[in-house]
Amino acid sequence: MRQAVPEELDILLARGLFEQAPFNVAVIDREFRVVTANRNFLEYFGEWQGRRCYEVYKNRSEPCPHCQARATFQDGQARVSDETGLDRRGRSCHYVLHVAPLRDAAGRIEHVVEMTTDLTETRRWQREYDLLFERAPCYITVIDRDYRIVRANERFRRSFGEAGDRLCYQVYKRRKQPCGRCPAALTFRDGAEHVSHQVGVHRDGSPAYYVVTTVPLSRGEGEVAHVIEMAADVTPIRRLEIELKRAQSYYECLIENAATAIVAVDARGQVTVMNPAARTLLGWKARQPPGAERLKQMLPAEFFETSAPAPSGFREATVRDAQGRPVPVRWAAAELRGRRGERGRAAFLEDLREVKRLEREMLEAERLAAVGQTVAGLAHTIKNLLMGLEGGMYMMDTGLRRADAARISEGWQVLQRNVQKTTALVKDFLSFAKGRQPQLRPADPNALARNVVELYREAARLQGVELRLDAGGEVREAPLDPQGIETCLTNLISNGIDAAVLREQGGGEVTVRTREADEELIFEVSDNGCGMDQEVKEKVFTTFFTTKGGKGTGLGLLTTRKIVQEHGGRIEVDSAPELGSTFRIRLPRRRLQALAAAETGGVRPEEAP
Amino acid sequence: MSGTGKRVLVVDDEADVRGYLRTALEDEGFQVETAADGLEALEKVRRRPPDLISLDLVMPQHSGAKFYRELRKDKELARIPVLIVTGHARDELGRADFHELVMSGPGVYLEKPVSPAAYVAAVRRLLGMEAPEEPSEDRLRQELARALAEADAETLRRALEALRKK
Repeated sequence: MRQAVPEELDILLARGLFEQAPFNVAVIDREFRVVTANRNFLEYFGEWQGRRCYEVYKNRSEPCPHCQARATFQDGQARVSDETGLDRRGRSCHYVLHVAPLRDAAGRIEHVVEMTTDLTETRRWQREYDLLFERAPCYITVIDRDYRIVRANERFRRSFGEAGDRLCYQVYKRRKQPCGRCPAALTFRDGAEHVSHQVGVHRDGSPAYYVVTTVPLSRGEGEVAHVIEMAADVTPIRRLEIELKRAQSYYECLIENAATAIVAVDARGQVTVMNPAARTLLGWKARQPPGAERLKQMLPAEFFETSAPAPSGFREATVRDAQGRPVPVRWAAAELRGRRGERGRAAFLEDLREVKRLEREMLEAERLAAVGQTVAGLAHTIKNLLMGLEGGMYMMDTGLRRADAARISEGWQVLQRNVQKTTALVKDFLSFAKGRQPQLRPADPNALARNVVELYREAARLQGVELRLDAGGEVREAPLDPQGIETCLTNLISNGIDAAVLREQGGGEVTVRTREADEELIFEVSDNGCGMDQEVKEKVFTTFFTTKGGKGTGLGLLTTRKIVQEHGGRIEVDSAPELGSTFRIRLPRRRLQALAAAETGGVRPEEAP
Repeated sequence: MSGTGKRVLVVDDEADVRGYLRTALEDEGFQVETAADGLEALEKVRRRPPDLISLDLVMPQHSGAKFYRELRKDKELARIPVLIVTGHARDELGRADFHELVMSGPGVYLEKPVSPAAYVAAVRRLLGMEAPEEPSEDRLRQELARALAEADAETLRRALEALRKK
């Protein structure tokens, strides 16, 4: 039993408690009238004088259906309940209600005391916390020291399935053992926050990439009892990253292995890409790519011009390698554009050294092949001459033996003729074989053709053949050996006239034509003479034969072909029996330029004309 | 010299070669006709088939090869033996024709230049004629002179030894 307190102190205590209790206190009678209330109550619920409790608490007009006070009046038991009411400003409020009976001296309960504590804030916090916990855009789990999942939020459950008293690593990763690098273990040990990247398995079996932060939740006796794991799922980002890396390594692989040399610079001119082909082409051995200034000494100046970095298509140029040596290339440039303008530019270069070398070799091979064919043709001609000489000797021999003067004379003539033929052949052949080196210099193809046509027009007319010139207006200047081209045209015109003369019906014509097609300079000489059949056409350039009896040595077309080949060109013929022939000289301009460049490259003194 | 009764058509584009072969054959008693190209030859063969055709392969107008192909189309004419006389047996220009005509055709060819004796001997062989039993002294001296002209020092030395032994 308590020691009796003096009555005066008792009253003071009751009054003090009543007013100073940190909650609302009201006393109501059996009619639910509020008999008295403390200041807290007044401040919380507002004016109560002369009002019923349900009016004050809940702004109701009649008692609440589950009235706690009524029950306490009946059974004298204290009660606690959660209630929702209206505060003095009419706003919804939440509070805990304690109802306790007040017994009078006779032990009757005429009044009850109602003590209410505001829960509005707490409830809100709780709701907010729940919302935060369940709906946070990350996985949240609370685990104990055994890694057992005590709580898991909705997002976690959706992605990994129900946690249901299972262990963290079982649910996150479907492991049977704790993870090797476990951040929760660290937090349990040192009570600090830890962050780490982890890979787990979603409930659908797909990989889950997440960044987990572990935070100590509570401290027991100096040690952490629970840890919150908050994990941000970065799987989509990780997938993008992987795809990006894959794409990047794919393109890197393409660039690294491209046969084309690729050099890219950023907007400031710093080299960002220099693939192995580019290193080879430019002879760049240092690990670091060249700096902006160094690169300018190597690549074509055009590449760096701000206005037009992207010439459409490939063009030829000469770059300088690391040692400053010139390297012929075909190159193109491209502007590298981002969303916000230029991010840099790239140059694509093809090494032409090998191509140029092959081109030279091919020209040389063609020249050698021509020599081979020449030798074969020459051998045939000589064999025929030897046949003639053999015949002459036989006639002389048998004629002398038989004292047959007519036969001796005939034999002598055969010998003479064949010796003359041999002399002519040797002369022609020397001029063919020891011909001057072609001197390529810029010349007007139309002017060359006109000269030759004018020179032969009269001679042609005397034989009843019209010689015409059809000069193409589009024909441009080209590096040519004027003397050589004139020789070619002379030979072809002379052949054409000889063919046109043979026309039985007269009206012979020879036309010299110049034109340009497919980057080739073309000379054509057409006649309307007897034409050639397939056999002759096939062999016309490959043998010394002549259709002019003893007049020709068969060297005209060979000489023409040789000169054409020395110009890097080729000669072809269209012909049909009775319709005439067209000889066509095709000179690729690229080769003419290459030959002219090679010529000026060598230090050959200018030949006297 | 007595006639063999055999007729030979000589086809060659070189007049001097034609004249030479004609003379060589006539001297051995053959009757000879000549043609300067394949067309003329074909005409003459059709008009009066010879016993043998001496043919040059490479000619400007209507080549020997073409002529030969035409010839093969006619069963009668195809039987006439053909002796190829060419300067192109082994070079680029004549190789294809040579293979077609010689290796799968008559199989007999002479490469220019050819001596009168070798030429006539080949003609005789193709016609199945025996060579004259006793070559004239004329011919023997000619052949010896030719052999000596073409011989190397070693052969000359041995030839001299053989002559001295006698």
